[in-house]
Amino acid sequence: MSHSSITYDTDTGFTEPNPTASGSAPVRPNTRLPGQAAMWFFVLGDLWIFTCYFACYAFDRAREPMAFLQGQHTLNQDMGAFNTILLLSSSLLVAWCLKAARKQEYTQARQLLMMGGASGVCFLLIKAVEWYIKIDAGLPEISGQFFIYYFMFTGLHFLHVSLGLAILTLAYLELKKATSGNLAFVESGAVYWHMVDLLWIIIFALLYLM
Amino acid sequence: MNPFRNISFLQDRLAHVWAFLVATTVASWWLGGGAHRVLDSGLTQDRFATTSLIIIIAIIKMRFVIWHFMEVKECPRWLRWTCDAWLLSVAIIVLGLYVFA
Repeated sequence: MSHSSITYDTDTGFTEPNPTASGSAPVRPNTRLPGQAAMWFFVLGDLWIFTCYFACYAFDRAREPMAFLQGQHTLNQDMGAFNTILLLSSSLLVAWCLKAARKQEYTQARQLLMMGGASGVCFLLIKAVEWYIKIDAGLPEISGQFFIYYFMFTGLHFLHVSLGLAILTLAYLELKKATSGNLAFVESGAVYWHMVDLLWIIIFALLYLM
Repeated sequence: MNPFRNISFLQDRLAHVWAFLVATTVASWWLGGGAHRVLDSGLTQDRFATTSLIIIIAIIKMRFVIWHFMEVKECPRWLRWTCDAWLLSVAIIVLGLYVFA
């Protein structure tokens, strides 16, 4: 299979082979990596590390399903679901931010990024309220292996969201001076932020719903 | 300035993906909501079909986030395969341990 020429999409920045055009330009792939390769290695590594934690959780839950379900039953599923929708919306806003930045609409991109970050802050506040309610209830309600996992998963995720917010702040500053069209850092920040969303989807399913 | 100018919610693919993700979140929240799993004794009941479905829905949601929000569908093949291998591993590990451990 050979493609004779490449079209460049100024909207997305993707190069795509154009099979209908004629000529003998060299063959190039129709793919690209958004952001820096280092960020992708970090994200993939982080996901695999979390997979080990998920395996431990699933193993322990299988040994004591009733105890885990009892613990899960005391969690507030409504708050968890609302937080999931909050992070999904935040991801959408950050994806739109990148789209706007690629069209060189930097003011719009900054507005969308700001809204995405604000949703992330709301997520952390709700999580903090949830922890407060749980810790306030005290023992024996938050005893047992399930709650060790609950605080470990949500705590680690909280740290990831906090780091994500710091990265989004740097991306915001980058967008302020973005005139050259080099969006590698903003793209990397977006990739990290979507990973935070990704982890929450599975943590929500495992801890709150499974 | 309106931050949503030039964005059509009805035509934007990312908005469609978001709507699908919110709908599946509500569906799994309803499935795992607990009410139908609590017995008269106050104890909860582990339902195989419900639990399996919740995990499968989560895997599908993650595939959509990876594919569309992280733009992996446009990425080199090694990354697409690595991401799918990760998703498949999570599904096999979590479901496998749930069923057989």
